[in-house]
Amino acid sequence: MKPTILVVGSGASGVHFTLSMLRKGYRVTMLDVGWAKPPIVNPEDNFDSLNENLPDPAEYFLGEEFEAVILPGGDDDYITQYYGFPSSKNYVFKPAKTFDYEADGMVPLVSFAQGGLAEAWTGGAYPLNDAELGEFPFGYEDIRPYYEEVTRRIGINGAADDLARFIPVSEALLLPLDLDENSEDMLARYQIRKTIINKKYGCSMGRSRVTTLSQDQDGREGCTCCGRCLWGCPNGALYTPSLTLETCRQFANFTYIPGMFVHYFDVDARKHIKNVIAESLQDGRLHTFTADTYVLASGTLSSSKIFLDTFQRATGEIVKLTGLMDNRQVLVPFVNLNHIGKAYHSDRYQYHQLALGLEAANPFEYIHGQITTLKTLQIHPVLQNMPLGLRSAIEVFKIFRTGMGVVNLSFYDHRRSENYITLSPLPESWRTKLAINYLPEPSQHQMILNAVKRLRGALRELGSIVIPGTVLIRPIGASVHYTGTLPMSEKSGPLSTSKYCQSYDFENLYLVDGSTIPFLPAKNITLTLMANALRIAEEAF
Amino acid sequence: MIIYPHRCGKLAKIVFLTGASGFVGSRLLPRLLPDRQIDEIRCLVRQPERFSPPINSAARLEIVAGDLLYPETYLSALQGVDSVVHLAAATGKAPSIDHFRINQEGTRLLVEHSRTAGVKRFLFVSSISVKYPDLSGYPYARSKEAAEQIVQSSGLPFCIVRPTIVIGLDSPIWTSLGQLVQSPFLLVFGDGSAQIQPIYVDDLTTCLISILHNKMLDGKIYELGGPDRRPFVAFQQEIYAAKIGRPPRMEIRLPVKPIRGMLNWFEEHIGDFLPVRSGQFSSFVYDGSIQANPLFEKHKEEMVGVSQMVMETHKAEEARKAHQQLLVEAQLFTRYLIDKEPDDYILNKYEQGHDYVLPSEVVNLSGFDAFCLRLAGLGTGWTRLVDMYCTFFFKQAALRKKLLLLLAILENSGSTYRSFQPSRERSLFISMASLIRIGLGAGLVLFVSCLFLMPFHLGFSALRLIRGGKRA
Repeated sequence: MKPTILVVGSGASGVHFTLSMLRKGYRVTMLDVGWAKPPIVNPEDNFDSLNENLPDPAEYFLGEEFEAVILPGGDDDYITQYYGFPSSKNYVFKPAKTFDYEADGMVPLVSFAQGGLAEAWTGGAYPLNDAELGEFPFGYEDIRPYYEEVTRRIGINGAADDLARFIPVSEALLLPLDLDENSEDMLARYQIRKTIINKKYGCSMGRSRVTTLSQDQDGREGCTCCGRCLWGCPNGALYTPSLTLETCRQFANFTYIPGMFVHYFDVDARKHIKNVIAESLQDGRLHTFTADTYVLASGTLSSSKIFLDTFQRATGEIVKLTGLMDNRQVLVPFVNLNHIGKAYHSDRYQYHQLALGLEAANPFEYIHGQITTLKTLQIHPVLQNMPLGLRSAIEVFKIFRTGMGVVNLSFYDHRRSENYITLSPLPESWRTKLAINYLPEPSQHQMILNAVKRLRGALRELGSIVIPGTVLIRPIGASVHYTGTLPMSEKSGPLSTSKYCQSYDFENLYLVDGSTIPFLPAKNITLTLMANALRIAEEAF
Repeated sequence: MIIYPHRCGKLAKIVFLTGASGFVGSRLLPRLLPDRQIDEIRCLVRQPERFSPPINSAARLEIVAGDLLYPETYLSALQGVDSVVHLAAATGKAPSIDHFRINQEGTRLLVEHSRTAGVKRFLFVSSISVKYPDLSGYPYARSKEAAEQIVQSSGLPFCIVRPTIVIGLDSPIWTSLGQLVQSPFLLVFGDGSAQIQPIYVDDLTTCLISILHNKMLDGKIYELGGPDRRPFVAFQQEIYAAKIGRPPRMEIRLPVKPIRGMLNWFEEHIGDFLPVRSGQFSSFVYDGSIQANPLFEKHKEEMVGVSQMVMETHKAEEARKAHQQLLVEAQLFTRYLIDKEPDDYILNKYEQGHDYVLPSEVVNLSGFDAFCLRLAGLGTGWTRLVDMYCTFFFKQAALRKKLLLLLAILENSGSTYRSFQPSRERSLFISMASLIRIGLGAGLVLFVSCLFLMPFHLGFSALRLIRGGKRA
């Protein structure tokens, strides 16, 4: 009889690992806090008709308590963000009172929603190449079948273009979505001037890889360009992991138990996990669940905390898990001068449709950028950062609107001992608090300045200018690609995992989320997390 | 247990109400509407276009456009009526002829036609001033006295209520007494020793409803006041303390007799064009307390005391002032931002958002922040000037936060979200020309705003430093 599996967490890696295991006939139980997504409001409406048809549009777009309104902050952090999370996605970041943390040097985001953090993502999905997988215990060819499988499962659109130099191209890619006019104009100009742009700035441009269906697939409808991406895709064309969770729930050999916060595992003297201790969020009572194999998939911070609590109970020792990583992100707003004053259309795909890559001397230091042209964003955060009174800012904005966009540059990170997470005991309580410490690499600032300079040049060639004074270096934690605390390695050692992400400390424990990633390239890591989870399910079981 | 001597007929089903848009009527009507013992309320209103009836009612509300002095306008509406509640009256500084026409003649006509129409009960709200010892020079009191006599001799089952000073938001006496608060002085007429017994408007309406429910149309006159008695001056001192936050530093006593004499002379020889009438000063002189009666005894335990009614009224007044100020600024700021008038949805959302997003920051604004907000409130040109200055030199100004909150609402409201979208495609040349125009305009505004506001900004900052230094 096949061993029983208990998975903690329903994020991107957890649901894909589970789906593969279910298909292989394993009995899987999933414990999850599992805040559920509220029903989609007026699913038939597009952005414009939503504004007109909702009885209280401001409540929908700004939140019941106006939480999406962004006002000027303190002098030091005046420009903190260009958009607030819409209230329709509040459930993604709704905290669990059982999870306590303190952070120094980063602003972490944790999700306890069904589907996890990727419920609020913008769908960037890029496979890693051999250079970026250099520190992984496997190469691109080893993981390629799983990239293909995930691409088929969730539907990723893109094209084999200039970015193929940096980003492997899947055979299963769907045709790209129709470009909005501003993106189309930029890509056309790139085709004309790409020799200069490639040579002078080491910059290549192409279609971004996006987990949005450009055509109907597996009962899901393709993108209708309703302009509502940011507030939650109404027809499920933009993939989020809760869709796979729904698929899993159709299996008879799957048990999903929401409302459970996992604290730690009970371990015997042979460091074998006996059961898991979880707290019911409804009544605060502790419950015990037993399985043969335990799988942590609750995201790097939560999984690391469960691991640390378990380790402390098993050994009496509070240890540090070093090597915490996160991508530094930099927002570079620009205006495409060729496109100013053009007609505005709200019925376009809202998120990034173009991507760019900045070459580096070491291929793994590649810098990735996603280009999002402005369509139906909340604009008051943008207007308050313009060097004009608001009346003039609105007039200028209307002229610039169709030419505006932002490049989200992302930088690699590697494991460093000064970045760690550990436990901080809470007085007179059996509970603990997670303590997170992060120090950016001193050389990173220079790297950012150089990259922005190159980007400015490349954008200039495309007829676009970076708006002076608006480049924003986002705080560590904002990209939400936390990884690296229990790295996978073929070399056996404490506080790490095997090639198949099996813990070297507890033999019947697997970690299938970002905690086992040994190097964080600039590209969004989520696709790799899903593919790696599949790899473990297929090869380790 | 109180036993009412005379009860007639069954429960009131159809009520004919006069004075629904007045001070007491506007508080009575919303309480009558959901009353399950009443099937229909017919309100006699002179200017229906200016009357906004409350919504959400169990009873059916009918607006009767008409005038007390023209019975043909309301005759048909009296058919089938169980109870008439007659509140309408000319009050305060109305010309004396109006007092007699409306209060006396109007009541006479209403009583006469009520009788003809078969009305079962007549509730008349009079005034405590009717029992003042001297009514000369006080046409209001005399007209009410005459009206009481008409009601008493009507043959209809009736009840007359004589309220004392009625306090509440929009109460005429509250407004008048508020004008005597001239910080740091309190103006007092006479020696202020006359006893008064103010009643809170909601307590008065409770008593009126009680009369209707208990069918106390027993031909009696009930004097109604609140639970506390005070010398007039003590009441004024409480109002002063509520409005100013401390007791008055000085009371200036003004002699009543010479003022009344002068006003009397004017009224007799020149005409009653002055904004006050001599009779209105009677309240400062004569005892305005009530004689105990079963209606008062029944309700006095639940009634609001003087201190509480003063605080409640003051709070309500302040809340309304703040509300009105928000509406005015939302209108001005919307005009400034997008050249449009905001609809009710936007105004409501702005007020709501204000409570959520800016609760502490906009209370007790001081110094340059308050100065900027006040200046910006003078008109859209000023708003532009101050906004431009704040964009560069005072980003966290309350003005900017208010403008941004409103902007967030405007971009998410059905009637205005398109104001942020380009209305048509423009050529690059036209776009650049527009940008240059906007840029030059903005530059000029910035220059002027710096010239004008920088000295104030520096001045306020210096003042703060000096004050901070002194405190340290």
